[in-house]
Amino acid sequence: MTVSIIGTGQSPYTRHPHPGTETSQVIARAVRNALREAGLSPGDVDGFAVSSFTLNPDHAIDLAWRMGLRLTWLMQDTNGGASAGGMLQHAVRAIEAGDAKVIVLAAGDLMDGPAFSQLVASYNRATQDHLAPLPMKGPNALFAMLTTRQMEVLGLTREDYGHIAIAQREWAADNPGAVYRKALTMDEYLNAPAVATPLGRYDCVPPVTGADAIVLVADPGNSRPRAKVLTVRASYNADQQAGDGLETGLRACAQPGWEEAGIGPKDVGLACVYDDYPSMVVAQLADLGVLPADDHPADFIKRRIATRELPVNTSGGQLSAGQAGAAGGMHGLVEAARQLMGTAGARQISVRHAVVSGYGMVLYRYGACATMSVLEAAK
Amino acid sequence: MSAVVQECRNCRSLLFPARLFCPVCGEDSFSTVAAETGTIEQTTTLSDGIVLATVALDGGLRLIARLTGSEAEPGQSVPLTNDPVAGSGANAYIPIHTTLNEDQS
Repeated sequence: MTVSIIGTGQSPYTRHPHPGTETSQVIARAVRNALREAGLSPGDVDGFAVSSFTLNPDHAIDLAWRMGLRLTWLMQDTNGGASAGGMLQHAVRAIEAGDAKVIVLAAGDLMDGPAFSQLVASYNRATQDHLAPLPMKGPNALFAMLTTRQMEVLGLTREDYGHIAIAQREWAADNPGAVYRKALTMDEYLNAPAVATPLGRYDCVPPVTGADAIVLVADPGNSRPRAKVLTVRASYNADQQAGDGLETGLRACAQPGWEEAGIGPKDVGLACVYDDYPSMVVAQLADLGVLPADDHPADFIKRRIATRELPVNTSGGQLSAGQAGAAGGMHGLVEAARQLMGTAGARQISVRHAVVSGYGMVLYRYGACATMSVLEAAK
Repeated sequence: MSAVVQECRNCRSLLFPARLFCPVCGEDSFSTVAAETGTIEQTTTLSDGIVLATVALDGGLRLIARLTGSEAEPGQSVPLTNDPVAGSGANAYIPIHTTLNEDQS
C-alpha cells in the first residue's frame, strides 16, 4: 500500500503572537488549513498525531477532543526537530495496518520570549544540571563549537556557510509565510552581531509562533496531486553522544532509505533538510549522500546550492521562515509536499522527488534524533 | 581541584552526564571519580563575553565547560572544577547537580 500526503497547512509564523494566543489554537489553525486543502472536514479524520513543547497541560487527546476528532489512532511525539519524521513513520504503518484511513499530523508552538527561555533552560535533565548553569541559554554555543569542528574537518569558511543562508533567503523572498524575506548580502551575513563565535545572527533561526500540519491517506487512486511517501527512516541515539556530532543518525538511514525508495541521492530535485544551523545543512546533505563524499563541500555549496541547481529548503527554511518550536521538524515536510503537489506559489519548482530530513533533541553536546523521508510527486 | 564524572564499575568507562546503563558494557553499577584536567578542543565566545569550551579527558570523554580565570586556547590543558568561583589561573567549570552522586550502588 502507498500512503500519500494530500493536504498541507500552516498557521502563519509570527515573531509577535497576539496576547492571549494559545498553542492549541495555533495548531488547530494549521490542521484546519490542511484539511481544507485536502477537501476534508474534521469528521473525516480517524487518526491524529501532534508534537509540541508548549501544549502543557494538554495532550494529544485534549486537542482531538477540542477539534471534535473521533479517532482510532492517536499519538504524541516528543522529539522536536525529528518529530515530524517520527510521526510520519508511525502514521504510514498505521494506515498500512488498517488502524486508520485519514491521519492528520501536526506540530506547533507558542514560542514567545518566556516560552523560549523556559524551554531551553529545562530541555532535559542534562541541560538543567550541566548546561543551563554554565550559563548556557539554548543550543547556539554547542553548535558554534560543532561548526568550528566542521570548518576544520571540511575546510569550510564563514563565507561558505553564508552562501547557504543567502540562498535560503533568496527562496524566502517568494514565501509570504517567511518572517525574513529581504535579500541578505554576504556583507550583512559576515558582519552580523556575533551570537556564539563563529556563529552570527544569520546562522541562527528566529524563534516564531506557528504550526504546520499534513493530511495522510492511503493512495486515493484518483488524479488529485499528492506526495507519495516512498520511505521513512529514523535513528535515535546512534552514537551515544560519544562522537563529534559531525555525523548525524541520517548516515545510518541513508542506505536502507534510498533502497526502499528505489531512487538514489542523485535523483532528488529538492532537499528539505533540518536547518537549525548552516553547518547542519552541510552535515545532513553529506549523511544523505546528496553531497557526495568525493565532492568538495565548499565547491558543492557554490556550484549547486547557491545556483539553485539543487534547490535546498525552498521555503527559506527555518533560517529565514522561522522556527516554530516543534514545528521546525514539520516545516520541511510541508514545503516538500507543497513543491510536489504544485502548491508552492511563486517559488514553485519542477520536481518529482524530494528528500526531507529531521534532526533534533540535543542531549548534551548535539542532536540525537534523525529522520529521513523520500517523497514522490504523483497524480 | 577536580570535577566528578561517572565511572562504570565493570568496564571502567568514564561517562558524563550520568547514565543508567553503561553504553559500553550494559552494566548498571557505577561510582564517581574525580577528573583533574582536560584538554581544550574548541571554544566559543558568547555575545556577553562568556567563553564556553569543549574539554576532552584522557580516554576521550568530552565535557562542556565555562572557562574562568585567565584566557586559555584550544590544545591547552586546564584544571577541571565543579566550583564556579575556582581560584586563580585558567579553569574549566563543569556544573553538576547532586543527583550525580545518588545512584551509587
